[in-house]
Formats: sequence, structure tokens, C-alpha cells
Amino acid sequence: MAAAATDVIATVGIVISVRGSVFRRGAIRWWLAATLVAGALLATAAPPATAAPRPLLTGVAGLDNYDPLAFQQARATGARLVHMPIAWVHVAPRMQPGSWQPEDPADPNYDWAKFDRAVTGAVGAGLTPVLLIDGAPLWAQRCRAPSVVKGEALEGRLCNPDPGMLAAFATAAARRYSGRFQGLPRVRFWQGMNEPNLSLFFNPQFRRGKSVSPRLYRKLINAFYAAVKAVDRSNLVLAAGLGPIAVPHLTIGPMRFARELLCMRGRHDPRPTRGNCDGGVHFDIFDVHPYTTGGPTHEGRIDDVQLGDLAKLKELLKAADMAGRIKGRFRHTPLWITEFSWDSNPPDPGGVAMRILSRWTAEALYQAWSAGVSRFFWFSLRDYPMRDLPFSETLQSGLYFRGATLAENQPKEVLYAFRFPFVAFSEEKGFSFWGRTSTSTGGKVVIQIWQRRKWRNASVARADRRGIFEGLVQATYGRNKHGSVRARYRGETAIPFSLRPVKDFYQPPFG
Amino acid sequence: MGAPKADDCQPEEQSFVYRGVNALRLGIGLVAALGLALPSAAAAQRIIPPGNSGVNQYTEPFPTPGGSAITTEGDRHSPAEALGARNARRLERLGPDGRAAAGLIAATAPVREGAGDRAEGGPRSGPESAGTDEPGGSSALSEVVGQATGLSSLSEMGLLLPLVIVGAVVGSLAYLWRRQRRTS
Repeated sequence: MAAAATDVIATVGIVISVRGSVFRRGAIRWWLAATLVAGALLATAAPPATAAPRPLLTGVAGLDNYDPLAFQQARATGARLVHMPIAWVHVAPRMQPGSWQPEDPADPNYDWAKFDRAVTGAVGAGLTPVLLIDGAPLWAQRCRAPSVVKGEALEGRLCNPDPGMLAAFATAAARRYSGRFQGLPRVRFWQGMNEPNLSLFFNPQFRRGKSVSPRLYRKLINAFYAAVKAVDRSNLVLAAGLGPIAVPHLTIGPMRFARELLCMRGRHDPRPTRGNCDGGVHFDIFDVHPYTTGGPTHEGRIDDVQLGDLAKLKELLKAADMAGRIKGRFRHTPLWITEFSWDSNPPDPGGVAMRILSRWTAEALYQAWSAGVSRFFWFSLRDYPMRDLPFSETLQSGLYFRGATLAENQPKEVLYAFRFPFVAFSEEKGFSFWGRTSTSTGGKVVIQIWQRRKWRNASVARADRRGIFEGLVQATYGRNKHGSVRARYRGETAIPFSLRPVKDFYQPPFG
Repeated sequence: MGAPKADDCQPEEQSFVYRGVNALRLGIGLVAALGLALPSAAAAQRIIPPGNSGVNQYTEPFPTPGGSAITTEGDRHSPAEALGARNARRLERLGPDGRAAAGLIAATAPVREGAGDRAEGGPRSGPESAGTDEPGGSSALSEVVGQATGLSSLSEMGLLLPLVIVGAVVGSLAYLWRRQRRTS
């Protein structure tokens, strides 16, 4: 639509400039005038371009146990992927050895046992692992993070890790999980560092009042990319995994961080800055963690990225792609969400009531898909232990209630919304719907409405081969924002979605 | 999107251009009036959660009711601040309509980042606010429209842009038709 309108502007400009010559001839003049008016009308009436079918695969992040049962439970959520950190500090020796081969995965100074188990367990359960390399040993950091900044404890946080040392460790990890090392499985997805825009994880964020972390991170991710790709060109590198909001003195808003990382400027109309931006920023997939202080359409401030802000991040990535700032595998850099959740009530009294949480979760997946996100990870598999901390400081966002043992974990209602997301919205002519099948596979989906105390078939949709289905049911049902709709696929039923909207309200993601 | 330069050899075109400027003034007035109807940016007060878990690095501050606690007159923009000195001068030159539009835009412009910090006794220019002066680079018209409507660029105007185009086309054709009739 915008492009067509721009064409019309250009045409009008031409007509004005050549008016003296063209408009002297009557027939041509009227023909041109009619064409112009028709063109302008077409510009106003042209439907928006329909998006090509695209997937939304789900994953689970934040597993606190790598037992095979944990992976089975993750698989039961409909997840195809699992996001797991490899703590560099735990694999590497405490002190840097005088003589060793840090790029060699078989170097005896490394201890990979826990992560070998994690990767093997994930692949064994049919999950695709996405490995996050994070947590540098002290000897690989070039400064010490302040223990307290503005009341925030930051002890042990990363401080300017050495890109060369990170690259050496990434090489060792990528070689170990290349599928060609001691029978260990192949890992294709690699992420370099976590939430580098938060002082909670990465320091320094600012120097003399100016942001420095985007530039530091650019050097790290470029070194990381080169190392991972040198092992196998088909490996894919995720960058950033940015936290959601700007907090003065503590974090850089993800939009601002992304702009500075990609050497772009302009909050509304991003375009490249001068210079070559260290030869570009090397990664294949951009990652963000849009934890949202409110409902699934909630927008943050201008440099925040919460669920309602995903489109502006996508726009920035598109502009950076066009400007050649991103040196990755894809022409259009994919956007992933590798962490997202709200705490649930129960157990957290400050969390989202379970019924609303189920609704919000389905809507969150829809929002993400609509904005062009192709992978969405829920954080976490089960509630975290309390450890004498208040609810506001622990994560009760699991898809399972935490049991005394893994086997005693109990699925929450929200798990079913995550597994088989389905939303429906009242429209002038009936109601529209969107969903993704629980197995992310195609086929017939029956849309049902609650009418006269019974579920009745209203329509049949066809899920594409990725399991995505959407449509509009033209009926009197749903026009008045009353009623409830659900989807059925291969004997499985999605959680019914009420057509009565839930207004956005203040809701801290961690309760 | 500046106004086309008038050609001294073609007075008819000059007339067209001036009419365009009048239309622009009218448009600015309308857009500014629309701006009145838009809610101003909600202000927020920071509430730091207890403890040191870092949760506040993920959570928006709790919004205060009404937002008046930290939005004071002192935080208001002048037209030059809201629009840039050059654009403010351009609007001033358009006469009373332009001045009214500039004043309105300044009054309804979002509160500057860091205003909350100041109201709470925080530092005047923290690191986060250091990046708020990014060059925008948009044209005067798009800045005016953007400030008044909250739209970030002309391409985001939705139906408004095509309507303006249709109006311009129809107006110019009507003018040409009328002129053609007079000359014949």
C-alpha cells in the first residue's frame, strides 16, 4: 500500500512538472486524468500484501535438570527445540593452565561431562539443541564487574570477555558437538552470550555516560561467528538474546542496543551510520527476550522490546539487512525468541491467574508469529525452587508445577495453550481465528463454537505443513464479542478461547 | 517533500503552488487538531523491587495514576525543542496557523526521557538518556505529522496518505478543468 501510494506521488509530481506540454492535448489529458484518479483509487483500495506461510516452532529454555525424563516432559509440551546454556566457566579450568590447547575439545583441562549428557539427552528425546555459550571464567575477562551498581548486586557478572578466548572456547565446543567427535551428537545452533544489554550479565554497559556494550559485543559475536563457522559452515549463529527494557544506569534498551550493535541510527526510520561497522556484524539469527510487563499486546517505551514491540525490531533488522550490516546466511535475518514467560498464579500469588495465562500464552504465540518470529521458547520447563526467596524474585513460570522429583511434576493448564495455541477474535462479519497444531504438522482442523450448552462444529480449516492455520468464519456468532471458540486436531482439543477481550493491565512478568 | 519551486515563466503554476501551501497549512492545522485528541505519553514512577535478584532489569516500573506526579510544566517542550529550531521557524513563517500548530505540537509532544529521574531527584543526564538525541533525519512535513499524530513516518500514515493524494489529484484536475473552460 505504501509503495503504491509513493508511486502515485511520483506520478503526480511528473504531471505537475510536464503540465504545460501534456495538458494541451485534450484526449491525452482526459485519459491521463482518468488514469491518475483510477491509480489513486487503486492505491487506497489495494489489499495489504499477504504474508507467505511461515512456521512457528516452539522450544523450552531454562531446564534445571538434564535427566531424560526432563527432556521427555519438554517434548510433551509440543516443543521441537531446547535452549541450553554451556557455562564456559564450568567447563574451563578455574585457573588458566600454563600449557594447554583451548581449541581442542579433548584437552584434559576441560570438563564437558554435564553438557555431553545434556546434548545427548536432548537429541535422544527428539529435540533440537540450541546451545548458549555464556559465563566466562575470570581469566578470560578483561576487567572485574562492580559488585554493586545502584543497589544491584552484580558479583560474578561478565566483564568485557576476551573475544579471542571466547573464539577458542567456541571452537572447542563446536568441534565437540560437530557430530564427528567421540560419538557425540551434532549441534547446529549456537548462541554467543546472553542478554548483553543487561548489567546483570554483561559489563561494562556504560563508560563516562556513553554506552559501550554494543561495540564490545560486536567484537565478541564476530569472533564467535568466525570460530563456529570455521568448524562447520552449516552451523547457525544466534546473536544478542536481548533483555526487554531500558533501565537507567543498568541496562540499554534492546532497540538502542540493536541499533548501536548494527551501526544503524534513527528510531523511526532506521538507516546505516557512516563507516563500515567493523566490516559488519556476523550472525545468522537475531534473538530477543521480550518479557512483558502486561498482556500480549503490551508495548513498552520507545527503546524497549516487549510483545507489542516486536514489529519495530523486525523493521530494524530489515533495514540492517538492506544496508548490508548483517553478515549472515539469510537475506532476511530470522528473529527468534529464546526466552519468554509470565509467572503463574498458582503458585505465585503475584503471577497471572491461570485462566488468563493460558489465553495470554496463546496470544503471545500469535503475536510473535504475526511479527515474523519463527521460533519461540518458553522459560521454563518447571517452576524454580523457592530457596527462601520471595515469589517476586523466583521464577514460577514453568509449564509444570514443580514436584519433589521430576516424576512428580504436574502439567499446568498453560502447558496445553503452549502445546496447541489457538486464538479467536470477534470481527464485524463473525470471528477470525489462528492456531498451530500441537505437532506442528498439517491436516484438517475443526473449529467449534460454544452454543446452546454444546460445542458445535462451525468450520473446517486446513493447517499448512508447519501446522499453522487461520481463517475467518462468517456468521452472526461472535460479532457481539460473546461466545467461545476452540479447535480440534487429530483428537486433541485446544483450550477454548473466549471472544470477550481481556484488557491489558500491569503485570510484572515474574509476579 | 518540500514545496516545488515556483517558475517565474509560468504564473499558473505559481498559483497552484500557493494553493498547495494553503492546503498544507490547512492540513497542518487539521493534523494538529487531531493531535489534541491523542493521549499524551503516560508518565511512570519507578518502584524498585526489594532484594538484589536483578528482576527490575526485566520489569517496567509501576505506572502512577494520572501520571501527573512527574509530568510538570518544566518538562514541557518548546516548539524549537519539539520540532527542531529550523522546522519551528518554518511553521512560524506560515503565520497564525503555523504558530498555533507549533504550539500544539510542543504541548502534546512526548515527555523527554529522563524527566522521571529529575522529578525523583535523580541525575539530570544519566547514561540511558545520553542516547536520546539521535539524529532523526526526517523531513519537516514528516516531523510535523509524526509529532502531531504519533506516526513515525509518512509511510505509516495508513489511509490518510492515500486520501491526501486523492484530494490533491482531484483538486488539481478540477482546477485544470476550470482553467481549460475559461481559456476555451
